[in-house]
Amino acid sequence: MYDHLNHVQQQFKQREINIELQGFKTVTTQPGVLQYHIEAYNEYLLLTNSRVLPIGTRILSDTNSVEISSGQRRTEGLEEFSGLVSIELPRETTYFPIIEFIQIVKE
Amino acid sequence: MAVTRYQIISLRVQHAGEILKFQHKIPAYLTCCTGFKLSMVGVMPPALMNTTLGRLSASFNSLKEEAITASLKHEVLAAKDFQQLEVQLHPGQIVSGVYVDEQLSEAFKPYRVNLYLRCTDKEGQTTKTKAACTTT
Repeated sequence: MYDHLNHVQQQFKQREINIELQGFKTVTTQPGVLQYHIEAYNEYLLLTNSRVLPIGTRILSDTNSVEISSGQRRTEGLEEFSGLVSIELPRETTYFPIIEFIQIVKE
Repeated sequence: MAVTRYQIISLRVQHAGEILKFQHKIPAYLTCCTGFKLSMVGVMPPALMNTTLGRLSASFNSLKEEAITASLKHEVLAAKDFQQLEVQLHPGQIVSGVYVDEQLSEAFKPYRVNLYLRCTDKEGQTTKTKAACTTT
């Protein structure tokens, strides 16, 4: 079974990035607000629940950007973001999820 | 004598707001990237002159070094020089990144984005410590 935390540890080791802190961060979305901004400077946020996000949700950051498509909702890969992270829910959404990240603070 | 080779990563943007990811393997004999240039290929409506078309970020050495974050602007004098880059390459590793189109949908026309990487097989000035890559 694919293990997110194990995968994160292995990948950061491969990339020679030492982890100072591994934690979790959530963004609770709410009706009437479609844009959210999180600061993730000198750290990484790994999206863990892309499958529950509305199709068309865009997450843009200084290092990576994704738009949630039906294909992405099926995969278990972790998208990684760093710097200023902007989350844009699609205008027509009626579903407001809690967006979950694994937070990695590097040395 | 050092050789300089240009790696070209070409991306086709087909709709407004498109997010394009890329991966490119730099040949193992190249040891250093010393410059990069981002340019648009295609015809753009005049209304988009001097506007930002999108932005690109790229990392080297299989996600070990985040080295490029750049905006792509549509300008009259587009012949820009290479911007400086100082990345020591690990052999056979991957350059990966993402391009995000930032245009408004009404004026959009498909276009191509080229990222040129200027790389060399010459080692950086390594005596005892790793130093910056050199272009000569």
